[in-house]
Amino acid sequence: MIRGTSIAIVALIGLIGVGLFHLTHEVRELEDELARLNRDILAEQEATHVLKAEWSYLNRPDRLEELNLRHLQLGGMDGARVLRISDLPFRPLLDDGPEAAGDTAMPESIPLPALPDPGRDPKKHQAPKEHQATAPVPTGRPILASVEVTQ
Amino acid sequence: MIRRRKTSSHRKPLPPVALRHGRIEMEGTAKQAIETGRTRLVIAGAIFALAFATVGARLIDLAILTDGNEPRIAHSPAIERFTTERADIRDRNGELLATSLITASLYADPALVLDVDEAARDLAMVLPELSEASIRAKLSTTGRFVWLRRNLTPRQVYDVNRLGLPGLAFQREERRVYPHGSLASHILGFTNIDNRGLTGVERKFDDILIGGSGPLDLSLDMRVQYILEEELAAAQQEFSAIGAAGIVMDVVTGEVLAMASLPGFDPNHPIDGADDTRFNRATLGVYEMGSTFKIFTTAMALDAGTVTMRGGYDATNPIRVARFTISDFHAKKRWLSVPEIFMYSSNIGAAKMALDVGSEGQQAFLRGLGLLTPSSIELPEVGAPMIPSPWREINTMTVSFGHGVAVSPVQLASAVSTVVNGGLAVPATILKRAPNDPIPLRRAVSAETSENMRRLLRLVVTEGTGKNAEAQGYLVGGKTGTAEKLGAGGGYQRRALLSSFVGAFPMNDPRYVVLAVLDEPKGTKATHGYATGGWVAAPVVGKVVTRMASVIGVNPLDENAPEIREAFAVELNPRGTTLASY
Repeated sequence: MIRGTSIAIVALIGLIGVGLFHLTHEVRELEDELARLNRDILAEQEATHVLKAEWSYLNRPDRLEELNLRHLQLGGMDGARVLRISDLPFRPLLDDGPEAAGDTAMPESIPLPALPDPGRDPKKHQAPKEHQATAPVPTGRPILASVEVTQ
Repeated sequence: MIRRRKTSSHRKPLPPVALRHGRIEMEGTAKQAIETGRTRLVIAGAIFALAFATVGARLIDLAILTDGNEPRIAHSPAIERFTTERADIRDRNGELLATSLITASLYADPALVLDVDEAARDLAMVLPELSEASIRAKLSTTGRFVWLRRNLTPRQVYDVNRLGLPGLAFQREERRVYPHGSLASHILGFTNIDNRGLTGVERKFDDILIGGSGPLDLSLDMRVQYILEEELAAAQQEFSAIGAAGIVMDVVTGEVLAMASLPGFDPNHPIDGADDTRFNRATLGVYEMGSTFKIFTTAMALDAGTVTMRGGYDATNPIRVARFTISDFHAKKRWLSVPEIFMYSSNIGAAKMALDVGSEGQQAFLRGLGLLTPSSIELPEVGAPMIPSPWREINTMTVSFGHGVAVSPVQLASAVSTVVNGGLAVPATILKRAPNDPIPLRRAVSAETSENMRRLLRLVVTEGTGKNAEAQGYLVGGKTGTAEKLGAGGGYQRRALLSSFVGAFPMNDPRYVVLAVLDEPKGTKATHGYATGGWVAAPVVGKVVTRMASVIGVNPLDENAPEIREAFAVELNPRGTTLASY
């Protein structure tokens, strides 16, 4: 009886010892991983920092202007290219369809007056986001629209 | 023992009750002692059992049961964050203007270098900007530390490491980088090799940038800054000017959106350029501004009530005082109304206006606009104005048209902001104001005078000397200024001009002041040889307004709309034929 209990206790102690060893080992591994992850985060933050500097460098206005000249040839914006909703001509009634009614008219359907500058492709200046220009423009935001209209 | 006692009992007679029913019975003190011992054992056993039970219970409590406020996840005590020694500088939209990048600097311990000749040859190969001889000289020294090259690129670090030379090592260092190059260089300033600010914002906010309080947000808008610098540079080149300065200021908050001084420099390599490239003409330079001062003279006279919008002065003959003669550049030789004096930029009219207000009133008014004290802008390079002392009657007259007093362009822009914004003086700032930040305002001009000045400034652009500043749809108003610079000999030089234009837009509710100053421009064929403010500086302002308005979101208006024409209606000549204009 006593011998049986002793064996059981010794076995239990052994089991607990092994369990404890495993747990300690596991915790140490997790701590190592945590330290490694923290190191990685630090390295990533440093990389992000460098990339931010590079992003700012790539966004220099003179570079953007040069890229525009090379790829887009967009002209400068002046007051005549910004319109309000009230300045737009009424949309001519189309044959049918639900889109024909109301204020959902897309700018493409409006016959725009002749362009004063023949050297430019009118399609390029009919930005698809024209409707944004007609809403009150929040301060500090560039006006994305550019539509040429003779006044 | 029992047996022994039995044997002994044969020899000696036992006590009568010693053995009864086969049990040993004790009597007297012996029995008592055993009873006491047994009781004590029981008590001690109980105490020990209790103690072990307590420890066991606590063990179970700690190991198996969990406390309610125990954290479920373990946190490591300190998580490092990436920081640089010096904080970033950003513009009002969060665009990075100055940052610190980690670089490696190469140093050597000459005692550990095995073969100096081989090391020098290999290093010179991967770092071509170092000569083999200089490396050999450095590696031959007896010290234990010598810098070979500061701030290497990652590729250079890789190349040096690949050489596998002993005795070489890298020191992690920070280097200040300005991604936008020369843009806004005079405002940002630059640092020395140990990352301490030497000029500009870097110097003024050195402690804050080092203090680790996060990035510093400036009031600048780099898009507007670029537009301003580009247009100024184009004009500087077209008119062969020796320099140029420009400012775009928010009239309500005093925030500087853009400020340029040309020629500029690259803060990444500040010592490459000539010394005068680092001079900030917009804040440190003080200049006699010329006719732009008539804005203040006219506002002063209207504010003091010595003349009304319908009043005027006789400008037929030049004024002669002592050895000076005050005459008009665009002489009309007749009586001129206040709007005409302003529009034709009559020196005679301005001088007479100022004389009526008097020297004291003039000084008080100019002081109220901040023209007699250095600007409050947060830069180390702020020039103090040059003021006549003593302030005689002749000074009152010359100051009225901007001679005999020298102010910095930023002072002028601030004062014009005050005149057009409804009359409230607001300190100029280079820092972004938070939306709810209280702005220190002080009334310097009455609201009615400000309203009248808006009409007069608009008139200059529609009818007067500033027609070239017109930007379709944005209702620009402003005033030209052309001052002859003081020569080395003391007298004014006819050929060395300081031509300027200060404008504001949209004039019905001004939001921004735009100032352009050109130093010693020369006339061209296109300007018929003129190098005056109206010909060289006004077009710059017009172009800047056109380009920046859509960027910062100012809606264009129809100048010909009846209500706009009405708002700017000015009676030009109340005495002669009534000429209503806008």
